[in-house]
This record gives sequence, C-alpha cells and structure tokens, in this order.
Amino acid sequence: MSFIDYAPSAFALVAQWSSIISLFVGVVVGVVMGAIPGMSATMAVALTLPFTFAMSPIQGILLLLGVYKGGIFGGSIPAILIKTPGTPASSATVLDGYPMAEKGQAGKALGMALYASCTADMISNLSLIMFAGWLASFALSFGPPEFFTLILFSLTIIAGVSGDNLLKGLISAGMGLLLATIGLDLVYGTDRFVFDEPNLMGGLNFIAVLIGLFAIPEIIEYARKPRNEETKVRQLGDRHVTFAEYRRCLPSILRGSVIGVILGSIPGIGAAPSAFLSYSEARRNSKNKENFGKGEIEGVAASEAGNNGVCGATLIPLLALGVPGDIITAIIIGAFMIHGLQPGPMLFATNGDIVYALFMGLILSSVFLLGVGSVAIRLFRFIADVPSSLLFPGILVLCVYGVYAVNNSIFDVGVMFAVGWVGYVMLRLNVPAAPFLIAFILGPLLEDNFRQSMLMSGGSGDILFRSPITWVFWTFTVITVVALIRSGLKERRNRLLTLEEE
Amino acid sequence: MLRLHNSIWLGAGMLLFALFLIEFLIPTWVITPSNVRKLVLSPDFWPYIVAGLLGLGGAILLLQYYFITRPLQIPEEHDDVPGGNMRIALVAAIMAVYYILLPYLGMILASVLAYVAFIVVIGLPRKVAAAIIAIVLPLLLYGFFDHLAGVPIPQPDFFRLP
Repeated sequence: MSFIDYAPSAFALVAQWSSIISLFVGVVVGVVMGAIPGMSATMAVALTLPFTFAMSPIQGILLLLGVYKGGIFGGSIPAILIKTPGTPASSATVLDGYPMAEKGQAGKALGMALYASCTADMISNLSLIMFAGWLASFALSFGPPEFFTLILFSLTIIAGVSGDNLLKGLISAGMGLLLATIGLDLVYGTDRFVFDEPNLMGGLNFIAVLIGLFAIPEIIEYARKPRNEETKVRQLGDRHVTFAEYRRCLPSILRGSVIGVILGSIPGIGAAPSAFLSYSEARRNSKNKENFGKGEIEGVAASEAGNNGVCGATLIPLLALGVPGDIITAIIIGAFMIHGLQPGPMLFATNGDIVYALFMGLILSSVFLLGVGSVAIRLFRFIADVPSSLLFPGILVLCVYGVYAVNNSIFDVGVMFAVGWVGYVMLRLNVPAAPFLIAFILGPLLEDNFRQSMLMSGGSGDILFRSPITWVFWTFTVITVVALIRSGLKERRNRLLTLEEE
Repeated sequence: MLRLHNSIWLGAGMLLFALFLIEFLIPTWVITPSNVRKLVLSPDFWPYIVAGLLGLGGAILLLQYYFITRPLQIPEEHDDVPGGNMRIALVAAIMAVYYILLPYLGMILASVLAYVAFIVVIGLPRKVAAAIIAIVLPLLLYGFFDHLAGVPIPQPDFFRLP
C-alpha cells in the first residue's frame, strides 16, 4: 500500500484536536527547554517521554517530535543572545549570531535563524516522506545476515564519530552491548547476569537507562560545579530580517538543508557536524566570506539550516530500517516500543496509517515552529531567568517520577541512579554516551540477527557474506574504521610537526 | 599528588573489568544449557565476545597512551572545583537515601526531602522559591501521574493524598 492508500486514515489520525494540541505543546516545550542554558534537546525529549505513556501512539510520538524540533531551534536563542548554545547543535550559530547581537542586530539574527530553521526543517521533512517509504520497501528483502551487517555498520560509525576517540566510542558501545545482554537468553531462555534478582529477568528498563545516562550525569555535574547565574542578555534591537536578506541567504539555506539531509540520514553523525559543515561551505562560497565570524547573517542562516536539516532526515533510518541515527531518535524509538510499535520496514506494512500521520504531523510542526519561535524570541528574557539552582533538583524529582511511572517499579529508579553514576564517570573520562545508548537499543537486535543467521547456516560464518547487500555493509564498515584510523594518524603527524616547530 | 591520565584509568579499568567478566561473572552468572550444539549459539558466546571487545579496547587505549598521547605531550584539562568532590559525595548520599526512603515515606515526601537536601548541598540559593517548588512540584507530578495517567504513586499509610 502506498501513501495515497493510507492518506485518508492518516489524515483522520493527525487531524484530531488531541494530536494537533500534542504537537503544538511539544514544539512549545521543546523551544522553551532548548532555550534554557544547561538543558538540551536530548534532555528535553528524554524528560518528556514518561508523559507520553498515557497517550495514544500518535499523540505521544507527535509530542516527542515537537519537542525534538522545538529543542533544536530553541538552542539557537541563547547561542545568539548570551553566547551559550542551548544545545550542541547550535554551537556554529554562536560564531556569527553573537557578534550580530553585539552590534544590536540580535532580532535580525534570531529572525534569520527561525526562517532558516523552518525552511530546512520543511526540506528535511519532504526528504523523509520521499525516501523513507522507498528505503523501507527495499529493506523488506533484508534477512538476518543483512540486518546484522547493517547494525554492525551503524554501531561502528556511531562509536567512531560520537567522540574524539574511536576507542572510547567502541568501549562505550561495548558497555551498552553488555548491559543489553542482561535478562533471559533469547534462544534458550536461560538467565544471563540476573544475579537471582527477579526484576532483572526481563532485562533493564530502557527508559531508566536512557534517563540515567542523559539526565542524572548533568544533575551530578551541576552539583559539583554550580554555575554562575548572572547572564547578560543582549537586546533584540528593532531591526528585522528583510525579504531581500532572506533571498540573499537562500542558496546557503538550501545548501545547508541538503547537507543536513545527507548527514542526518547517515546514522551517528548528528546535527552539530552538519551545522559546522554547512557553515564552512557557506563561507567558502559566499561573496562576503571576510565577514564570517564578525556578524554575517549568512553564517547564521547556514548554521541553522545545517542543524535543522538533520531533524526529518534522522527519522529515515529510524522508520525505514529500525536503526536510530542519533541519541534523540534513539529516545523516540523508545516511544514507539512503549506503544507496541517496532520501527523498521514492517512498520510501513502493519501501521502505515501511523507512519504517514507522523509525516503529516512533521509538516505541521514546521508551521508551529514558525509561530512559537517568533514568540519565544521575544520572551527569552524570562526563559533565561529560570535559575539552574531550582531547575536541576526539579529535574531529579521529575526523573524519579517518570522512571517509576514506566512499570510502577522502584527498582527501575535504582537502575536509573546506577546508570546515572556510570554515565557520570563516562562524562568525566570523556567517553561519549551516545554509542552506549544506541548499542543498548540495538544490542538485542544485533545478537538476535547474528544467532538467527547461525541457525540458518548451521553455525557457518559464510552466511554473513551471502549477498551483495552484506558485502556493501562490510565494505562500509571497513572504510569507516580505516578512515577513522587514518584521521587519528594524521592528527598525530600534525601534532608531531607542531612539537618539532616548538 | 600523582595524577594519572584518563586513558590509563579507562584502559586499565576496562582491561580488569574484562578479565573479571571472563574469569568470574560470565562463568558464574550466564547459565549455559548442556544441550548447546554449536558454540556460536551458546548464551555465553555473545557476552564473551563483548568482554573480549572491552578488554581489547582497554589494552589498545593503554598502548595508545604510552606510544602516542604521552610522547606527543597531549595536554589534559583538569577542571577542579573547590568543594566539588564533597558535593558529589553528598549527591550520591541524597540519591541513595532517596531510593531507600521511597517505599517508606512515599514518593511525595521523599521527593520534597530530596529537593530540599539538593538545594542545601548547592548552597541554599533562593530559599523561599526553593521551599515553594520543593512542595508544589512533587504534588503537581503526583496529580499528573496518579490522576491523569493512572499510575498509582506510592504513598505511606500515615500520609495519603486523595
């Protein structure tokens, strides 16, 4: 069945007031939380997840998608007004956004950030609609060996690009894979690391692990180093973006959107590298390249187009293959699972109406973002005034309620605290958390597909090389590892040269 | 005081953890049925692979430190904060006590106490606002989860809300 077949039932799902309100509330919550320095879009989505349990699948997932989209844009507001990116994805926006604010053009910078974000978001959503269904129908021909090699490739790239060190990424992924083995064995039903604790027989609760990994370390770090709350918020100024300026920046916005779509659809890359690549390409191609870094509006447009262009595209591997492209989509996969939906090629066949309703909701979210973003820019002064000293203990309480609510289990709260301390040690040792979470989610799939392949072949490893698709993923995996090692060696050579010069 | 590089901590820690997994945790806590015909299908095959990966990662990280990081004098940032470690220990204590008290005091009272304790640890900023939020936030969350989402929030016998 195609989009046309599902369109009426999908429209009926998304055109309900409850769905529209969920999406709108999601965008508002995302923009506000993304704009609070110290919060991030990831934390916003993670903390919103427990509130979706009582909702229908479409309402819950639309709420989270709204938070995601709003959170990514919201991060640009403090980046421009107080030189503190609300989310890592907005780091590139600081480069020209804050110098513009210093010149009294904050309103112009924020306006351009909003328009570039909405344009890129729309392009990203359209690419999702065009490619996800096609990729899912292609993936229907995948068997266990193909899925095993695909997941292995995804984990390799996520482990490699998430931090500054491939080995740390691999260790992080290894820890996630290990944690995923806790519970009953998939084939024989025997105990693995259950330690005679009945609560561990079903494995660790995904929500407890993710909130523990992404919210608790931030709370501990805040307690270690309470931040100075004196922030200097720049005035908006009375200058606004003109249509001529938008038209001048349009090539950079379109280029940034395409970069965002391409990088977003590759698992593991994420919004921050996309924003920086879009920014550097805009500078390379601009007539005003000497103004970049000094308050060039095209730089703001390119950065924001780069990071928002990723939003829809990261859902392509998630929906079509069941592979989350970054941390936020890893959290969103949790929302699907809570509501009994398994993202992947079969989702299009079994719940096509929900998938296409989400697509329609995403288009609507771009419109909401335009309205909510315009208001949030004016109200930022109040958002920035939320004191972190009151916020972080509140997040602790919120985490406890949210994690308890998943299974009515106090044991899960203990799991969250324990994983939180593991996450904090990782934070202090500069070990990226993203490979841990994504390996924890994909671990059972990886092992299941591996063992199914072995069952099919009677234990022969040849089956993992049985088709051109498996060869393509093996080749991508090897290329990724070689490229990462080469980049490390190049860095070493450069460092040696610098040392010799000194 | 001698300060070890993060890579040494992580590399050595992973190596030791992998050995602990291979020598003790997997043989003791992964139950393998006697009728497993193929090694690759055994329940302990995957944990051994992951343990090997962790050990290998740790070992290479140590080698990388001795052959690359140290010779190249790559600096490591140390972000020490006065009283930071003490506050971390206190937060650990708050979380432990919070978890222990949940079944006895219920979620609302335990959350009020945890919020207040956290505020005390970070130096009692904005006392009045903190006191109000400490009480109002757990009540609002109780209202949402218990009454709207239908999740029974634990409450003690001596203090029950409708």
